[in-house]
Amino acid sequence: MQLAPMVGLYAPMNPNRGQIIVTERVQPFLKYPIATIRQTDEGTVIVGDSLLDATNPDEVSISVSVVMAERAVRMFPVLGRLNIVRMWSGIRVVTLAANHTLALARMIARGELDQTMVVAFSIRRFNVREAS
Amino acid sequence: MFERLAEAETEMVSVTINDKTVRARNGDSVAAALLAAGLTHCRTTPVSGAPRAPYCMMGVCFECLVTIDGVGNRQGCLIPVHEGMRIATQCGKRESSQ
Repeated sequence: MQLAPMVGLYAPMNPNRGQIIVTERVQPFLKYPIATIRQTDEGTVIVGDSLLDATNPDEVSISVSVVMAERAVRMFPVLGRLNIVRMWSGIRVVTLAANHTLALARMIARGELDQTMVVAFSIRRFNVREAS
Repeated sequence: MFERLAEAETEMVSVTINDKTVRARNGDSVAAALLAAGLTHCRTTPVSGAPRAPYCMMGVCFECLVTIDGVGNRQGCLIPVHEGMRIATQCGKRESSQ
């Protein structure tokens, strides 16, 4: 948000903070991921679907964790018995990782951008007046 | 593997380890009782299944996790034994119902 204007770019960004609760490893009980709760192959259960309009990733909001935990236990009472091993929050980052590895790497190797593929990702897309 | 010192004889309690009755000293931690009973490991790890035994004996390493009175993943080295306590070694991940 501060960096872009320094190099003459207009890059509006919305802060979007999420936080999660991670439990100890348990035997599989949830075969499918659902929007708010997932269980990994190794057995940890990840609870979290929060979305806060905040940029400070160093803070875990306990009141948000309480709501997430209560909902999780209401859906799966068995979770109420488990120990929580960590909770954390972070800013959500949306990357174009797949594009970077699959398409962009080849373009860089070739020394030329394929405009039909990259034009949609031009920095100009942030300039609403020009794009419209 | 471990032997009790003769002069350390104090009041004893009965606990069960995997449904087998074992005598432990009043004041023993669960981990100490497991070692005194001759167990070579008290759990297997959740991911690779490697056998693990009590290690630090002071609540830091989490190697001594066992099921105590029906509750899984408890730190054996931090919990004193009591008469009638049911201790079970834990294979892999904790059961979510325990």
